[in-house]
Amino acid sequence: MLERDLLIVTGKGGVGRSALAAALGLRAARHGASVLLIGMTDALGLALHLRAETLDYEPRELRPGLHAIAIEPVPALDEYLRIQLRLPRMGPMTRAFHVLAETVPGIRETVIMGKILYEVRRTNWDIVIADGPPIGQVASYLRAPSTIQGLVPSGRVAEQSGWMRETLEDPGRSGLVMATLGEELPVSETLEALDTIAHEGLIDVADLVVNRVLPPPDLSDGDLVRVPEGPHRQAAVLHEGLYRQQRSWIDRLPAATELPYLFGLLTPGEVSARLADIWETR
Amino acid sequence: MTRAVLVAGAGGVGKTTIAAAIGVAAARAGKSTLVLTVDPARRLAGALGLDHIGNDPTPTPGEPLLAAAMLDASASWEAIVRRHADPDTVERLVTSRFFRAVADRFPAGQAYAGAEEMSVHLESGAFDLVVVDTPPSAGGIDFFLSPGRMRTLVGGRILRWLTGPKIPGRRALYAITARPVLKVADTLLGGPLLEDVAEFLLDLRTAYDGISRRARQVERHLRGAVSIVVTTADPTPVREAVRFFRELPAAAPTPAAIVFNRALPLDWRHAGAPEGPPDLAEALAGTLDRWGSEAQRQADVRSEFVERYDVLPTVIPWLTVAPTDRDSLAGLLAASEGTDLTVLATS
Repeated sequence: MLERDLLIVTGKGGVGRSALAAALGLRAARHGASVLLIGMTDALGLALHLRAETLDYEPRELRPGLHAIAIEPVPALDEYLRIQLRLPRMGPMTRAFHVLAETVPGIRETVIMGKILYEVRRTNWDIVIADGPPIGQVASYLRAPSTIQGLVPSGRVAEQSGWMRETLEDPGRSGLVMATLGEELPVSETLEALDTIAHEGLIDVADLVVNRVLPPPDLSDGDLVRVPEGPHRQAAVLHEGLYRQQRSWIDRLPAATELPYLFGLLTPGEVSARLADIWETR
Repeated sequence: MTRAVLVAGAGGVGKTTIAAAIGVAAARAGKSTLVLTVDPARRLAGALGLDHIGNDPTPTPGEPLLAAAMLDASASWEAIVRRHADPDTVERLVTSRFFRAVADRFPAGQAYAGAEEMSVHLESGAFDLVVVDTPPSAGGIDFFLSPGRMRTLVGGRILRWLTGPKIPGRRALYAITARPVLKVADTLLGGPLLEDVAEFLLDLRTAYDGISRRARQVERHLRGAVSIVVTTADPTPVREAVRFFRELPAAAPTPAAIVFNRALPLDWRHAGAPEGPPDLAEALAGTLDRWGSEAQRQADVRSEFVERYDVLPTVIPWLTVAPTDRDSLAGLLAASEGTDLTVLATS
């Protein structure tokens, strides 16, 4: 998986998307790769998981080989206009494009995807890992190049969309990492997205990860009958109940990588480092 | 007057369930209550005792004061235009290929359509209380910002620059300054896209006065509401909850409560040696050790929040099974500690 040029991490809000993107970045950097991590929508989450206060639009090396940026739509649009379309900075054209970006479906997404793929095409990085949009929006980001091609049949923007699409659809170069939890809504949204993505051939799914999976309970139902009421019994009953729920949801997913629930860890930095260690052994 | 209770917070923290629980509790406290939910899940409908939740308020059988409806945040865009533009413009807008393509995806439009729908129920006077399960986008902040964004979009500076000053009857003209830009854009884009957009926004602007007046009313409704923010002790939802206290837009009320869902009992932290069969002692101690450290982490997160934002939390215990009927929904609030959400919603 880490051999590819681009990995986009997606998942429903709250499943640990940023933690997993950071963990993937840490893993790739440990293998000696030059890594660019990109915060696509919630850069603060990614920053905290990398033990940084914030991320900027310019790459910053956070530890050897590991760089990170945050994409902000306005500078990304300006850069897109300047570099991809060769328009002067903040001319009337640029202002008109800002109106476009707010109104036309796909422009904002195309600009953000354009920035990511521009970084992929530059030779500075061995791998680009994007902490991507929530799973409900990921298809509209991946689809953005085709949406634009549909709205504007020819011209420079349409050409740009063409190569973006090719790069995303090439399984040797790009992959999607889908993160989920063993709960009802994350699982049903994951199944829906898997379906859409396969159906439209948007991108190869490089990995499906179930985060926060509980270990099997240490006590069976039979054991619990023998335990008197109290905190110990309550905790064992909760564990057993949650575990059973989780398994019933995970069973509905295709084969997945399972990463464990990390009990009592406080800081996002600790969480991503632990996940990187564990993921490496899976 | 009908009171609005807005339940906000990140997705996946149990917001919809808590909104429904407040609805049931309020109805049982004698208030005629509407629960407006964004969640199409059948499970919630089932728990309220309904086959399904439609766009119009449906009374729940066996709970005379409780009704539920879906907050359809994307379908009513067309309705907004119909309400505020003249018939010719409406006709042109809804039949245009461009409007069809963007109608459901206007970033500012989706959340706003939901907020406007909520306002209609507040103004109808049919209920004492409307409990809104706000759409989770940006942790619900978008919902509060939507009327302002709507006004900016329709009356914005860039749009005015592009379309020229508003002159009645002068629809097809653009500002002289914008004309060369449109030409270049056409070459660049390979089609008359920018012109289509300008055309579309110009049509939308004819509805500006109507939309703008309405947006102010919607804003007033949001400001006058009781807002309740739901989170778990996990970092991502907590960060979204913090935004309601820290970057609170002028358009939103200060949250009246912060609800920590899926909380573990505090006495799990220092429970001592387990009682029971000696052969199970190790397994019991190990299990409680894990969950006790989780309980400690949750308590730390809560007390930091409370200290920093000076708000009393409502703590709702972690259940392994989601509530399946109205009694268990009400039970959820009865089992909570801290600020009483039923009192908050109904007094």
